[in-house]
Amino acid sequence: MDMNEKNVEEKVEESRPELPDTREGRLVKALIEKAPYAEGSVRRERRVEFRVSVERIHEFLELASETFEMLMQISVVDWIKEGEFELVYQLWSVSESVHAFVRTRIPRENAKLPTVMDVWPVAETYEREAHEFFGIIFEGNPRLGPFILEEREYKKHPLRKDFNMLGHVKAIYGEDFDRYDESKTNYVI
Amino acid sequence: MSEIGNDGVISYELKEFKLFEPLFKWARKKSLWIVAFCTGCGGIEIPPLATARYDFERFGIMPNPSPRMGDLFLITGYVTPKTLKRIIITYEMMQDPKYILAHGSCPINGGVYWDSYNVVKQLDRYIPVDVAIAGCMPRPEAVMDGIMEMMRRIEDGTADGWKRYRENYEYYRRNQDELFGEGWREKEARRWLAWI
Amino acid sequence: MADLEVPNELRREAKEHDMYLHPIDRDTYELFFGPQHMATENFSIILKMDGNRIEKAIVNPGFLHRGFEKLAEGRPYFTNIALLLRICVPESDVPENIYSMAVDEIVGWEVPERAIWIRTTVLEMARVSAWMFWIMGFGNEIGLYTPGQWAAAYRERFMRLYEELTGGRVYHIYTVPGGVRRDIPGDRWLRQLRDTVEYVKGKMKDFDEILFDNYITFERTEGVGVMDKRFALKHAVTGPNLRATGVPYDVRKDDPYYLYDQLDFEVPVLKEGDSLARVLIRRYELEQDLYILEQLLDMGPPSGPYMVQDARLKALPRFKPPKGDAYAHVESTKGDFGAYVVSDGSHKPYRVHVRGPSQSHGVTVLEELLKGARLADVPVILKTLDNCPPDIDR
Repeated sequence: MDMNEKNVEEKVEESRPELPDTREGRLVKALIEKAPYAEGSVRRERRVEFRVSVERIHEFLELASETFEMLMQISVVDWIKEGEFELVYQLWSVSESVHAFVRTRIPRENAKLPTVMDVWPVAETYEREAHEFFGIIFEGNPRLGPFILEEREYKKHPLRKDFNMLGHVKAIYGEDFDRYDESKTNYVI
Repeated sequence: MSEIGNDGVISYELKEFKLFEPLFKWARKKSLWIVAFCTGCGGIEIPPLATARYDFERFGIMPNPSPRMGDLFLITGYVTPKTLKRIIITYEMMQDPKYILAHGSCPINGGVYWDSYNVVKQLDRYIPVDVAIAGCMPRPEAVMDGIMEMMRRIEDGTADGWKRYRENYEYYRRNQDELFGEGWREKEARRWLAWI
Repeated sequence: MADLEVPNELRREAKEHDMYLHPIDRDTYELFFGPQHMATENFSIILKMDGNRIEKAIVNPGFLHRGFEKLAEGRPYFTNIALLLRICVPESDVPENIYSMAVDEIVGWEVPERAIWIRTTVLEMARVSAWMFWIMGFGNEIGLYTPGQWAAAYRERFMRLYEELTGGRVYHIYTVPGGVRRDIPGDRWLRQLRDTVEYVKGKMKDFDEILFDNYITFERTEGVGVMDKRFALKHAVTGPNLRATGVPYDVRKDDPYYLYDQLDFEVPVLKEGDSLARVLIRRYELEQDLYILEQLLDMGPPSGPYMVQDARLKALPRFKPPKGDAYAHVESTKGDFGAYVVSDGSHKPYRVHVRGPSQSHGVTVLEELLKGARLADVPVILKTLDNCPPDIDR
C-alpha cells in the first residue's frame, strides 16, 4: 500500500515539470529525457535535484556520471518514523558547475543497494562509511566492515536514530559518565 | 632498577646511587624529551610551542619520535578507545621514569565530547596522569605552565605516575580490559609489535 | 638479510602464540606506519612491503572518530558551532562557515554585507595560516626545517589577529548562522592585518629560495605519486590536488559564495599531477590568497549590522528553522569541504553530514598512489596530498 501511495505522490510531482529555461533547467531536461523514470527539479542556481527509485539507481547514476564527473558524498538520512533510509548522492559537475542531489529511499529493514564503485571508485569509501554507521549493505563492495569504528560500536551502527547513545556510553564508561551539578548534589544525567 | 626491600616497599633507585638522587632529579627535570605522538586536536599547538614564538627547547624539551627515548608523554586532546590502545602500548614501551601531561579538558572528563560514544571519559583510570591542563584548546602559555609544574613535581618527587602504574598495575590493567575486552593485547597489539 | 634463516623452534613458538613473526628470511614484510608518526597525524597505514617498495597499502583511519554527526543531532543549532568546528583543526573556520551557510540557506536569511565581508576575510586568513602550517609540515617531512620555523612564526601573526577578532587562537567559534558573533575590533585591527599581509608577502621570496626553488624539494617530489586527470575526477579529488592534474576546479570560482564573484584572482593549474606539481600549486595559491586579502582590505568592511536582524534570535536555544535541507561547500586548503544539513523543523538539526576533502584523497587515492612507491616517499605523498585525518574520521 505504501508503494502505491508513493507512486501517486510521484505522479503528482511529475505533473508539474516546470523546468526553467536556464542552464540548470536544460541540464535536468536533457537527463530526464534519457532517463524518464527519474524526476528532476531545479532548486536554485547551481543546485538541481533528482528522485530515483532504488531499483534503477545504478542505471541512473551511470547515466548521470557523463555530466556529473564527481561523486562528492553519499549522505544517508534515517527517517525513522517513515521506516526508511534516504540516500542522497551528492554529485558535482566540473564542466557545468552544477551540484546535484540524487535521492532515493530504501526501507530500513535489510537495507540493500547496488554499489556504484564501478562508476566512481571513490564510492568505496563513502559506502564503507554508510555501511558502518547505518548498516546499509552495498552489494558488490568488497570492503564492507569495521572501517573507522571498532567492532563493538560497529555492531550498533551508531548514526541510526534508534541507537541510544547515552545508554551506550553509560554502559561502557559507567561512573565516569555520571554528571552532577557543581554542588555535587543534583544528578544531571 | 627496582628491588623489594625488607619492608615490602619497592624502591626504584639503586642504593649505591642514593647520594646522587638530587642530581638525577635535576637532570631529569632539565632534559624532558617528548614522545611525538600527537593524539588529537591539541597536536596543533605543539608546533608553535616548538618553534620561534614559544620555543620550548630552551627548557631542554625536544620532540622525539621514539618512545624508548621519551620522558614526557603529552596526551594532546581527546582519546578514543582506538588511540588509547596505542597510547598504552607506547606508554609501556617508554623507559622509567616517565611522565604524562594531559592536555585539555577532554582527558579529564570528556570535555565537549562528554556524551560521545567513542571518547574515553576519564583518562586517569587507564594510565596515570601526572599533570592535567584544563581548557579547550589550552593556550601555549598554559601548556608551558603545565610543563613547569611537571618540572617542579619531578624535583620534589611528586610526579610519581610511573610508580603508581607499577604498583597498581592490576587496577589499570583491569580497567583497560574492561574497556577493550579481555585479551586485546594478544589479539591486536601483538600484530603491531611482535615482542609484546 | 635474505640468507638468514629463522630457526624452526622460533617459528613454531611464534605460531603457537599467534604472534606475528618479522620475516628476516623474506624480503616481504608488514609495516605499521602511524599513528605514532608525525607525518600521519593520527592516521595509520598498513604497508605490505617488498624490500623498499610498497606492494600494497591499507589505510586504517578512525583514531579521531568522535561521532560529530551523532552529537550534532543532540544539540541545538547554535551550540553545534562550538562542536562542528573541531572537525578541521588547522582551519577551523571552514566547518563553521559551511554549517552556517547551510543553515542560512534553510532559514532563508540574507546575511548582512558586513558579516559577509568579515566571513570572507576570516576564511582567507584561515587559508593563509593553513598554508603556513602546511609549509611547516612539508618542510619537516623532507628534512628542510628552517622554512618550518619561519612559517610557524608567521602563522603566529595570524593567530594574534584571530585572537583579537574572535578571542580564540585555534578554535574561534566565530561564524554563526546569520552573521558573525562579534564585530571587528576597530581600524587598528585592519591596519595590523594589512601589515601582516604585507609582511608575509615580503617573505615569499625567502620561501621560494629555501623551499620551493630548492634542489632537495625537486629531488624528493618530482615524479612521485603521479595521478592523471581522469583518475582524479573518478576519485573525486578536489582542491590543489585536482588542480595539479590540470582541472581548473575551484569552488570559489565555480560555485561562488560570499564576495568571491567580486574578487579578482586566478586559479593556478598545472598539468603534471605529481608531488612537485602539488607543491607548486600550493605555493601559487598562497600568493593568490595574500592578493585576495589585500583586495578585501582595499574594499574595506561595509558599514551596517554584523548579524541578521531576526526576532527568532532572541531565544537562541529554542531557535527553530523551517523544514528543509541544504548543501553548502567552500574551498579549503585541502579541497572541497561540504556540509549537508537536514532540518525537520525542530530546534536540533535532524542530520548533519560533513564531506571532508580527505575522504576522497586520503583513502582510495592514497592507497593507489602508495602502490610501488618507496618507503621514503610515504611522508612526501601524505604531505603533498595534504591529508587531514579528522576529515575522514569526524
